[in-house]
Amino acid sequence: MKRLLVALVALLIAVPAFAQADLDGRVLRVGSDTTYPPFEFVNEAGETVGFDVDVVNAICDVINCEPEFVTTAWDGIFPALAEGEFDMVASGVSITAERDEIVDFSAPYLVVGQSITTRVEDANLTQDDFTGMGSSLTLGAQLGTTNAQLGEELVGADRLRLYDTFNAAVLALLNGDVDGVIIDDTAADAFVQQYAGELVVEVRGLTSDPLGLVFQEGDPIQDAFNEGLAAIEENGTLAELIAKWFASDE
Amino acid sequence: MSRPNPSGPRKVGVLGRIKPSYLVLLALLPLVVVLFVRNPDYQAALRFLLPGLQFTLSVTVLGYLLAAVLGLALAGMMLLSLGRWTVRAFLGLAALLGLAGGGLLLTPGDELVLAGAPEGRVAIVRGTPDGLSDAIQDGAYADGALERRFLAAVDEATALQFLEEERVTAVFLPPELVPAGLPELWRVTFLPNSARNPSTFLLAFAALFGLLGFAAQQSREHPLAIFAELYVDLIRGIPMLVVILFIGFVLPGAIRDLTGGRISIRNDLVRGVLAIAIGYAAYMAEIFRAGIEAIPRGQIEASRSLGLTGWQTARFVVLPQAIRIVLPPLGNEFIAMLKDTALLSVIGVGDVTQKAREFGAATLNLFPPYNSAAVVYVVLTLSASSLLRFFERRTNARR
Repeated sequence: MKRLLVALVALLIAVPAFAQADLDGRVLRVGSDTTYPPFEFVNEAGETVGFDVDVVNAICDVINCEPEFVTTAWDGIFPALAEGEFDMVASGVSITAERDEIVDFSAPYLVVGQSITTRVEDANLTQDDFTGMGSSLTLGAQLGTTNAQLGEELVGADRLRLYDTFNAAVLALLNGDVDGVIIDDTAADAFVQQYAGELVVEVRGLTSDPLGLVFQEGDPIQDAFNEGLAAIEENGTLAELIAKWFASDE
Repeated sequence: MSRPNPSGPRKVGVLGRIKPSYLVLLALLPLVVVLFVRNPDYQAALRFLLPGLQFTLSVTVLGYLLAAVLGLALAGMMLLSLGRWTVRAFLGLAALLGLAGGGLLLTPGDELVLAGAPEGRVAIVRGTPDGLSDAIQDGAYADGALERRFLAAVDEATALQFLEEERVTAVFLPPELVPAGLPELWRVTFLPNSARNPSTFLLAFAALFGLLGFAAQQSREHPLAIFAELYVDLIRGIPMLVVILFIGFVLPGAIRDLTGGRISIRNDLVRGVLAIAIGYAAYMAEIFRAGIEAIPRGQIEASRSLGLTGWQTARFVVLPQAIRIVLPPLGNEFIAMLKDTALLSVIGVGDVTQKAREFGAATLNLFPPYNSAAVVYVVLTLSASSLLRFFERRTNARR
């Protein structure tokens, strides 16, 4: 009886897999800027963990591949992918038209909103305080992100400072070098918890950015990943992972 | 420039007087110009980079001047000899600082209470020590406690307001501010930041002065000479990038904590100049010391016995020779420093390199910005080295 149950469960797990693309256990090099909690970061044990890691693992369970996460700098991550340094990139990447010219995107797997994080004593600052006429408030962001683009649109290049990582931008915020950090709300919530009692996210919902996995142009593995993504969306895995990593505060 | 030629003196044309590698560069110049004139991407990249040039140049020149001053001061310290009261003064100062720092440790501790519901968010007031908030976050304060999420509050009143508005279920406050009837989950006593930060600072300096005084007593060298040696050894052992990260991110936070936010180094130029000068002062000090030590002791003794004063000896005997010795290495430091300012881009300042990275990140096209940056730096360093050679030739001609 017990053996039958095990066989039945195995069949249930296996059946959707049969319907899917199969990458034959291929090892995929996944480029990722692992300084961006909760999407991808290195935990105290030195392992790369996060939402993106779990998503890629879950998809790979379905389409039979083996992800190998490679830490890389965000600066130049797309040209590096286009030149074949990685098989794909999973790094909380917003889908944009400029990036789409040199790489390909999967279907969106999460939609995030951009927000402005400020020091707790500046909790009353509004978006208008940053963008209004005569404002001298500065914003920080990570170089080469959609957040940096939006920041430039909001306050102009002169009042926007760009850093290698969002962690550096948040440190600059704590040190008083900038007055706000423009960042995806999901990551903002993670930094607020990390620097307890120092930061707040009062300006939310500036835009909504769909995030996608990134592939080399015309690489056929993206079809397999799109199928795998649809499968984990359908069976509820994606929703579970979202609930696991993004405990919303507001 | 002129090399010994076995077949006797040879007539040298204009081209022959130019360094061969410069000849190649000169020949390549039209190609580079064509690239920039013909290719709109390169033009755009160059236009984008040029505003960064002002920062790169000013940080190099100011950093160089400050490094030279610091280097001279360090080289001067290395020449100091031990006086009768020096060691005692240092040890006394160390004892005083140690007492002051130790006294602050005796400040009565502050008490904080975590009160409210055992789950849900906690209001945490700005400036609460990290160790305590981490203990709550991880649920490490009591066995089996849940992990908690935080909402930052600017002061105690705001924290209580959050509790009233039910945005949080618990507060972490001094016991006298906790509303009556709120169940207590955890109580902790700790040294307040206002005592801990200055105390750490005083004790660190007490240890430094004490150790220097002790080393001076053992070696019969001046404590400041030992400090200068230590500075040179330590800083030369730290990569410039680490020095810059330290000055850019760690030091401002430390100064803010220490002064309670009254002093903050916000200006990019100030931080860039500080980082570059602190790093390069060590190399400058070594160059100055080598220049001064290269003058034979006998010359100084001879000029003193001829009746020259100490100042005259320095002005007419030591310095003219020392300047000629230190000038070439000092020039090399200038060029090395000019290139190392590129590292400042990691702290987000708008220098040429940072501008190139911004352009590359925005266009996803890496060749134009980085090639332009390389051209800009080569033009700068080659002009600087030509200028230096001109000065060197002038000082040598006066020999």
